Amino acid sequence: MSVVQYGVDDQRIAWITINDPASSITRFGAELLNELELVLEELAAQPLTGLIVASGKPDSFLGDMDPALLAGLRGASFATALARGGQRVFQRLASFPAPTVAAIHGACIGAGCELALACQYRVATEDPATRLALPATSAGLIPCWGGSQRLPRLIGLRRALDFIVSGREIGAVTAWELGLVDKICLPRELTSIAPTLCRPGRRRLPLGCQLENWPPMRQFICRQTRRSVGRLRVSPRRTIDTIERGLAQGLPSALETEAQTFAELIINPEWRHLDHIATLREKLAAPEAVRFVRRTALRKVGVVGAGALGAAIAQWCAARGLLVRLYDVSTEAVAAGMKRIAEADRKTNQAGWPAVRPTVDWSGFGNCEVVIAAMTSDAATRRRVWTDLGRVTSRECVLASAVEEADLEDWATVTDRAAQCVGLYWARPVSQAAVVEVVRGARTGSAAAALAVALVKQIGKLPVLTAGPVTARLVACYAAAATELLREQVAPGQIDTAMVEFGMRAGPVGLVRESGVGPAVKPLRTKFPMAWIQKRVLEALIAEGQRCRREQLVLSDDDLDALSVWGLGFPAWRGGLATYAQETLGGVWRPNL
Amino acid sequence: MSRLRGYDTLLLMAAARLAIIGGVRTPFSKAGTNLAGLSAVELGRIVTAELLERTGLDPARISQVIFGNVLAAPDAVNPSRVIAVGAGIPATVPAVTVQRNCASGFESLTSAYEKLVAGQGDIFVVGGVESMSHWPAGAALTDLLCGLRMGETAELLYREFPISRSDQDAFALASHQKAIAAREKLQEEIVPVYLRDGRVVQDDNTVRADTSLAALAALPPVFARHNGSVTAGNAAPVTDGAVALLAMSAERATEWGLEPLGWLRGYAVVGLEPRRMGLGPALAIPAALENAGVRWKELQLLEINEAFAVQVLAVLQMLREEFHLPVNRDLLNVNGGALALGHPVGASGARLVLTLLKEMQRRHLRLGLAALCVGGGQGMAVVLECEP
Repeated sequence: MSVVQYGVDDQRIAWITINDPASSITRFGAELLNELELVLEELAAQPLTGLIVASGKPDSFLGDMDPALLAGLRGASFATALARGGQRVFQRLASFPAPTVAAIHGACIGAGCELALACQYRVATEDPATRLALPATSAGLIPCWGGSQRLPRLIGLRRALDFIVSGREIGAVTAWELGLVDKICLPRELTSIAPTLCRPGRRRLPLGCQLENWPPMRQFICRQTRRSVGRLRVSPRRTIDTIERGLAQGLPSALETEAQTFAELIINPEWRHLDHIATLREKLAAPEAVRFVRRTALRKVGVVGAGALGAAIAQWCAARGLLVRLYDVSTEAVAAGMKRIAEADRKTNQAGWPAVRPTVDWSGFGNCEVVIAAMTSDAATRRRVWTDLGRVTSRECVLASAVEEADLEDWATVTDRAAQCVGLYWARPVSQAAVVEVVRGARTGSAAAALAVALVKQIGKLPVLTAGPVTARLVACYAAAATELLREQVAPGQIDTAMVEFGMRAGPVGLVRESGVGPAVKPLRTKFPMAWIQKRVLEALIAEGQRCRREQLVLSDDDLDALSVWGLGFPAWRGGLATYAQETLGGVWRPNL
Repeated sequence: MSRLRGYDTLLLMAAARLAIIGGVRTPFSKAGTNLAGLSAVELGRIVTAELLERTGLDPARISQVIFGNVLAAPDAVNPSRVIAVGAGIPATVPAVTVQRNCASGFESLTSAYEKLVAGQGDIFVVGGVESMSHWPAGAALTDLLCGLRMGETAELLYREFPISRSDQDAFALASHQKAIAAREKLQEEIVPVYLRDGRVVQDDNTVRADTSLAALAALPPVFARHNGSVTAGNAAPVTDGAVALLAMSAERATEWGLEPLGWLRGYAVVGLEPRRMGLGPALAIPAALENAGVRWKELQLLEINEAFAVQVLAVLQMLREEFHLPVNRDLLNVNGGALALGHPVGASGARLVLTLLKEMQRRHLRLGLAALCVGGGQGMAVVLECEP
């Protein structure tokens, strides 16, 4: 059965319907490209009043390139050929003799979006399912089938750069505001509206956008964007270069420039690393195995402790639709926590506050499905609170300890409910770090662990099963390495700069300050080589990662990658700590002793 | 006055009893002070959420949410609905707001009972909310019907009844003293309100420990400046506050093993000349007793809302002289009244019910009554019963 079907209606408008029955979303493979080219060739010979490209799927338009296409590439020349092949087909669509319309309903991502751009007009449905994006640059590549060149010619340079470099997904209304689509309609109107667009002529770029193409303006905008993306990653910079150069050229040579850049980026490891991390994210965020699927979403959690950690957890959960009962021992402590929650809401423009219900007694804990204990107090207080929790919660409630120093075994014993006790270790800062470690103690039941995993997924975090606080150890090691360097009289600014230059989310000196154990050594004025600083810190991190693996705290290199990227802030485009260690150290990285 | 109750009504009333399971309130706070930053619906959301937490009730089981509110904000014209959804009650649970001026809090409870009797559900969140900080200046405290401000109707009672200024001040002072003595007890009703800036409001802030007869006597009359008696000291302060109560049928309470705080035994609402609205309770009380089938002597505790000291004193005199129902002052407003605690108009009725029931529990009493005067010329009273 063919992927591309077509027919001509009585108004002599041709309808091309693309549908890959073997997959839930149609992706661009070699077969699709070939068929599309043949169909376009055949239709071009007919006298038509219009051509409409639509999807045969009820809930998606067209997806990105088939990953198999990319995986099969064996070097730069193959990549150039792939880019040129797609460009040729899309160019055929762009130069089609009759007006062309893309009728978009559902996801229109990557190559699918490039196809829509090759059409003369685009109509999109006002539906939450309709999303448009060109994610190639953020994934380490460049939109290589004409997208990077057609978009700035369609909506102006500044908007195009923002859309391509950020890789963000936009809905139909935003797309219309940007000028990316020409018309918005309801899903049920799509087939009747699309033919009305089939008339000759082309929308003119607004004057302001035309002005952006004036060479000095163009240089200015590109320079600005380059500055905003930083110097670390290759693909955003090369994408900007390519777009800037392409605008100075005619479309055919611009497309060739695009193809060359694509080939150049393919042999750069950046996109493979990003792809690796994206795959990890997909795997971690995937719905649970059928055995553990809960029928309904969790509704209510209890949080014990309104300190920095407890308040952050409460705010995060509440902002994602859970009811939160927040406990602390005194009204003052709760008030301080509520203030933190209000501040976090304001900073992130969220509304967690109304769903947090503060208390200084244990009422309202009886119907919590999960209770997260986040008191940073001493062990004795902790034990007392645990005892209380065992008393006030229901038998089915999962009791999660969020404090890494707390002993899980002790926790299980005190609450007298060992099977329900898990560790739930939050990477800090809770509002930014995407990962939560789910720790099974020796006696933790699988149902409790599954529920904890479900909770983490429900609040939009990535659960990683570990046997101990790995992120905390990596963070501590990161700080310790910095402390060491400080002791050797390296200036704190130099350390932070070196690590941020490496791509870490934040420098380690702030962490040292937070723990308050920084050495009081006056730094030297010497400028230490950045590479040396990076090497010192990374060696320490790799050694710690290896120890975590050998102690079987973390079960696989993939998990270590995930924790380092989303917990520690290791650069995703370097593939995570384990991947980085393998690539730079080769045989020295031996996680399994 | 006397009406015979129909047989059918008797049957219905025997069949349906409304239990009040529990309740919470915010601290009452003088308008423009601690709670001024919160809207009425925000106050309502806080007490409703806490009520659900403390009772552990599954919110999906609620039949209807009924709050009383006198002056709704323009952006929340059905405050009950906004409160219900904000407090995490499923959108499928309907909500209605009732308005009977100062008796709106009573009305929420009695209309829950009426819905129960009519077969319109069996679990209700009721109560009252008012943020007088958000009232436009002067609004609603002037009665269109008689063209008088509430304080001016009180001045009329001062002229009609032989009640001196010093009687009024002494009554107000006693209210403060009782409220101070009852601080611990009142705290049981109160849920602390946490503000976004880290402050927490825990206490009623209109109660004054430092007031005295001399200090009260020094205050100038507000409504009739030369020959008046009503001052800021012997009138209830305008106040922000919210109260939420959980009420349900006897069957539901038994089913879930909830111990009711008390029961609604009967009630009555009456109308009178708008300019004499302060006397409403004097007419409503005998009617409510009759409706409840309770004799005056059986009442063991009494709450009459203290809108104005002169108004309560006039009610007592009228009860004594016209209905031969002498009130034992030792059983009246034992934990202080609105003169000390404040009068967030839409919420006061619900607070009287809550305060009265809690005190009846403490004293192991069986029958109590709460009454309110209502701007516009009405009076309302409810008879409450605790199981001994």
